[in-house]
Amino acid sequence: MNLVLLLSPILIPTVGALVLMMLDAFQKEDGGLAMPTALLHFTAAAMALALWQRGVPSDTSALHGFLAIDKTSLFLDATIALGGGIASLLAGGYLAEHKLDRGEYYPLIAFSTAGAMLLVSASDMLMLFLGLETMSLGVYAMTGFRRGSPRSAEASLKYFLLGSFAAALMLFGSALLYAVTGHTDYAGIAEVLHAAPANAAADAAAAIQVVTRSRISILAMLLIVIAMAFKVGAVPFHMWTPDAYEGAPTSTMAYMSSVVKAAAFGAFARVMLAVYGDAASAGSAAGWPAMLAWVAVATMTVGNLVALTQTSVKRMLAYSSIAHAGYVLLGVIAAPREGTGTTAYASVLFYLLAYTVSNMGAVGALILAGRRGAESVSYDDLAGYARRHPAAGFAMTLFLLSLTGVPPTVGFFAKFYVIRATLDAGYTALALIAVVNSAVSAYYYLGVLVKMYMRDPAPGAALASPMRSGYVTVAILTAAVFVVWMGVMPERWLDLAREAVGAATAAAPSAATAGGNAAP
Amino acid sequence: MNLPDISQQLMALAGDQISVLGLRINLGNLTDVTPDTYSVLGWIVWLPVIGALINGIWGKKLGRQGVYIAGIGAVGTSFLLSILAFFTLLKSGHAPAEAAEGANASAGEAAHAAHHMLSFVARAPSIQQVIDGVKVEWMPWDWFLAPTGPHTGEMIRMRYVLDPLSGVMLLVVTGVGTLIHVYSAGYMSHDAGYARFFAYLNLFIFAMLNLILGDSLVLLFLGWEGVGLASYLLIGFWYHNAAYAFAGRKAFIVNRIGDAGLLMGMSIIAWKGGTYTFETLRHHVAEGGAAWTALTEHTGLGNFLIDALPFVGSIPSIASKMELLNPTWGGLACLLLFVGCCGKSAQFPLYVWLPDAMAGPTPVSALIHAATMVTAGIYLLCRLSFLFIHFTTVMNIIALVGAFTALFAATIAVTQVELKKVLAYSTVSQLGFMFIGCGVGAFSAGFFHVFTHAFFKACMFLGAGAVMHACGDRQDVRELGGLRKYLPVTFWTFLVATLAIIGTPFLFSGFYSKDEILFRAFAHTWSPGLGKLVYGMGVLAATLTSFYMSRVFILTFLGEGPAYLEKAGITVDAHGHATSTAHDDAHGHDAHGHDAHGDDGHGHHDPNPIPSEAGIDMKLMVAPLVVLATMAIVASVLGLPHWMTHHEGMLATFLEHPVADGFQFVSEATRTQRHTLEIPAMFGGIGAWAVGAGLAIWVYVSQKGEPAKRASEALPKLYSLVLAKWRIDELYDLVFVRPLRGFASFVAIFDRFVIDGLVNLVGFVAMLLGKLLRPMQTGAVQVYGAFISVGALAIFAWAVGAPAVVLSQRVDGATARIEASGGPGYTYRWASFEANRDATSDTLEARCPLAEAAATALSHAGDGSVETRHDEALQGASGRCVVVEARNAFGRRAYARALVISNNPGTIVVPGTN
Repeated sequence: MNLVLLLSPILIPTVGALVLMMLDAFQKEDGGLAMPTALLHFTAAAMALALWQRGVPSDTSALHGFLAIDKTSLFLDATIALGGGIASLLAGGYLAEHKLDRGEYYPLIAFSTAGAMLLVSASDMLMLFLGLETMSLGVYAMTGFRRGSPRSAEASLKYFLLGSFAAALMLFGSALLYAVTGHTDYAGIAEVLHAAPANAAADAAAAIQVVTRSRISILAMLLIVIAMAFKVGAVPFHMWTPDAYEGAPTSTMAYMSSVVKAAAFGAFARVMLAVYGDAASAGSAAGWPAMLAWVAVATMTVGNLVALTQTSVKRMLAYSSIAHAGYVLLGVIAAPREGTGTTAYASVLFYLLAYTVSNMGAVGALILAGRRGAESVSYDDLAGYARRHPAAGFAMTLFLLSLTGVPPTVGFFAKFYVIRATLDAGYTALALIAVVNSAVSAYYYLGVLVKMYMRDPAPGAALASPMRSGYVTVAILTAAVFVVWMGVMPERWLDLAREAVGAATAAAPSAATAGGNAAP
Repeated sequence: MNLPDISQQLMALAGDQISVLGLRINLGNLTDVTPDTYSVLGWIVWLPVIGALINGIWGKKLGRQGVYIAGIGAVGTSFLLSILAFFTLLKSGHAPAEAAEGANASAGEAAHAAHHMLSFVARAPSIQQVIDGVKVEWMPWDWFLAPTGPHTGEMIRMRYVLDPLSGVMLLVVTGVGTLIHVYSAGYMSHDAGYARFFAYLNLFIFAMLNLILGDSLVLLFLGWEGVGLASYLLIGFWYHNAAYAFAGRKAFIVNRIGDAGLLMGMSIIAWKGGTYTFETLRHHVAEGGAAWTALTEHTGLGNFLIDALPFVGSIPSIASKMELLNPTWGGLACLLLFVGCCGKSAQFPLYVWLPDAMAGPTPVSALIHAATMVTAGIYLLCRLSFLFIHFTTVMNIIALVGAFTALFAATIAVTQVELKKVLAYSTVSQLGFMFIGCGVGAFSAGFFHVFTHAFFKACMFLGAGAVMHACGDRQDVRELGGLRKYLPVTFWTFLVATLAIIGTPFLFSGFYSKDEILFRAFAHTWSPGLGKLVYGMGVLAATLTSFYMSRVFILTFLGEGPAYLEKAGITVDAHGHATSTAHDDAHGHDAHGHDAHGDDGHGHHDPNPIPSEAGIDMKLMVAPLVVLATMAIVASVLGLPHWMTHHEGMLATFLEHPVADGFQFVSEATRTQRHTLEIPAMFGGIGAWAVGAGLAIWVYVSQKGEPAKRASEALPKLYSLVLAKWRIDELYDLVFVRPLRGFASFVAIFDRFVIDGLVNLVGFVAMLLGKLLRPMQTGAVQVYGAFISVGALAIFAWAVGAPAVVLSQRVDGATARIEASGGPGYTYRWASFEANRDATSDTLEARCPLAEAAATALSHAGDGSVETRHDEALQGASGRCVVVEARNAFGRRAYARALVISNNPGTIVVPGTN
């Protein structure tokens, strides 16, 4: 297959970003780039689906092991592109409303999307790093896009500094791996690390143990885990998220909390399964899943508890996105498990897509509720909103119910699947903690509904009323379609996700779990 | 891959996705009866929810006309499609000849008779054709995999199935639903919340259709909860009135009790029967396989309770009785499902919410709390009749509860003075009759009563609503009277409905359906004594019904003109013109009062309107009454008794496949013999009608109510007790609510001091953290970096210093294979030793002491290997202890032990310690 076609989901936003820059340069007035950017993203998503439909070639030697274009990456590409497209539409409404509509925002989104796709397709530490940085640089700039606001600049700078810190850890880990194995590609690294079967006789293992038991390879694993935990915003590496989310323009926040997170999780799961998917590294009592279990507990609990105390809906969504990262981690933890692992991996992909559309929708509804000079961010701002504006209030309700996990929205099934995967993998306590956390989260999500439907605004307070923007409306409708569609037929979507990971596990060297479709 | 290629791919993809959605408009599909693609069913179910969304979101913008069009249009179209679907169902049956072949002669004869009777309805789809299990279905997608056990699951499909049972129910729900939507357009014309009202009403129809068309318990439950929600919202529709909002809450909470039963019953069926799907369960029951065996196992509930409640078990006389409490799992499931039915269908003791539910707008009372939702319990019994029929004890309980409720509610209805209250208790009582039918094994008779009751009771409720609407929201029969002159259409239709419910012989549907139930109780097969008792109670209840319904009718429509007008001093001349004699200056009492009333729409109610059917709103209201009254007569055709036609009733024949029957277990001779009891049994029903109605006419027409007054004075205590509805609400308050409230205030103290303390502590800690972090958040990125470093160090420390190993084991023949969990860079040293045979207990610590295990492992030679498995032969009574030392890459060690005993496959495995 033509290399260009194979890479088209990544190339479209890359080339598109360049075109957008040109358009912006020759444009007399700002604005109007939102629709082209959104179309660019949706085209990329369509290309990913077309490639999926046509069938990914088994022979991708033209990529020289740098990238893995398989159904996993196509699924994630489509998720990222969908999220990016919705975010562009949101930006089109938000930036214009708040007088921030400068053209460079849109090429930045497109570049970040290209980086995110590289990230999820990477099958080499170098490409992983390249994707990570390409994605992050764009987002740093988008975070600081509100130039007049010190908070925005501060958020951007913090994000940038801490992001560099994480990137350094990632680089350090990769360098150590290269030192131990002489490889940078996942397959090569895994081959050297796990050259002999785990139950080889002791004498034959002597030479292998130099590598397999190498403390440096374990150190490298820890460094990579920490760097990725930073990117997905897991506790205790989450400190940057609330500040960055709150300081950033709301449309950037939507992008960061959904697309960046989805891409980071996709890359995280892939690198861990491909490089450290062996029974020893991924042991349930002492391997990285056990370690991540603690991280997941801390992530869910801290995210939810702090979200409880927020008075700003925007900041609440930021903390709740930390909590959701904790739920996704459950699926990652269960993914290396033999037999049930593929379904767990599929539940991760399902969750990422579900969270992308639900969160995009919720942030979009929040954007819709704010006019220029009266951006609604706090719970009090929204008092009585749904009674005054039933349609806009209903949109917010739908997405918040999905984030809470109320059937028949997709959020319920996303949680249902990861918790089920956790149970299937034998982490009962972890599943219980997740359920309790999910119940806690209902308090702060439904708190918004209570405000919107049952409270009257304080006398003299400004009344929130929806802005008029076709872009935002289309974005919200798109997200709503997915939230309902995936909620009423979740099994179909889970099947797609299963198909996506089935291909990945069959191709990756860590194929111990291949073919283990765990449906009873 | 060139460009056209790609576009083709995209097109294919788009086509695929659209068909995934399943709700495509495909005209070919209307006539296509391929059973699993009949998407008309999808439209039937989903149109109302589309209507609900439109009215809920854009209702204010649409205006009244728009709301009416959207609301009525959605349900009306759904009804038309239902008719289409019903005929498709009839058409998709086998040819009559095939059906008759091989079937026994009487069934064949019945088939032909039924065929001829129905052939005037449509060109030929014979009702008999579909009897042998043909159904029309639409299955757009798989929903999700629901667990049925630890490692088993069943795919819950979004699958709507139309079979004879759901078909009849579908027509009732959408048909009566449409009429009531039309009626509501008139009834709610003064109310500002009309859009919300129609949205809720449409939502209700949607949920109800899910309930009846869903093919599994899960979908049924979804609908069950949905109708509960809609009912709650509609009872509390005027939520500004605290009492109404309270009634809504009461309904919701009482229904939760029933729903808990339903959920438990459902879980048992899934767990033991291995399925949620009706059809699969039916196969399991019919085939008698493993699932059926599991369902018929005994639970040992009594012994369990004795163990669980030692203070009960310690009393021998109670304990010995408790041991007898040993139902089968299937019986327990059925009983729990019946608890759910009691909640939804308002049976004793969970009926208390239904009378209060009359707080909602009258169309709601008619649609939800009389015609459709409350019959969901009967529907569930009929749907699972193939299961219930095998558990005769549960069936007897159902019959007794039904009979008691029928009688009990009827006594209350005798004393009530509010029109809707009487109708509410009458509904409870009639539901009791339906449960009698189900309980004695005549599910189709019970269901026939659902069918007929839907018409005449809806007609009465709507009539009552028309009376209220015309009389300034009055519904106390003492204030009414003589309305025959003012509301002629309402009068005639109410008369028909009354004659139907009191069982006026031979012309009205109520007679046939009630008579069939009473006959089947009289001819009960498996416990004739119980049957006679239930029959007796039923006849008594029927007598009371006949009395109180006649009473209400007489007091409302006959006699002197409305009492409230006389009280206000308004007299009406022959042309309907009012002249006020008492208040000359009282404006608004002129002849145009009612017209203004119909048009203003702003709630400027004339306090004493002259009742009239002239306004457009009243026209919208009385039109459905005529249809319903007609149906109350015509519906008789479907259930003519055996002695008239010499075959089973048409509806019973039609329902033969989906609905079980107690008669299916008795011989043909017995059945014939039982049919000879029909005419004797009928005299009970006719007698009840004659006595009840005669008494009412004597008391309220001849004697002008004097005997009633005297009776209440003669027995004042009894009268006030019955008037206060036997004080059941007060009893519940005393037995449940107060203790609960006491407990709640105790919990509140706990909550205030402990939970709040904890919450405050959490809040305080969060605040503290916030305060600690705040100075650092202003630019001090170093602190965040420090946090990352601390986190990273913690992870390093964990990876380096805390090795862990967990053992799992599998017995393979004479060998136990122990497997250690993996860890990065781990090596293992395995050892085993003889377990301590003198141990007094079976615990791991007693058998394989930690000290000995560690010593053994340490003394074991060798550097260790990456081997994570160890095979140990199963030998010796005392067993072997296996111990493993796991060493991580940094030299830290962990131990784990396992005990392997040959006769103890459940070997104890615990994680080791350092």
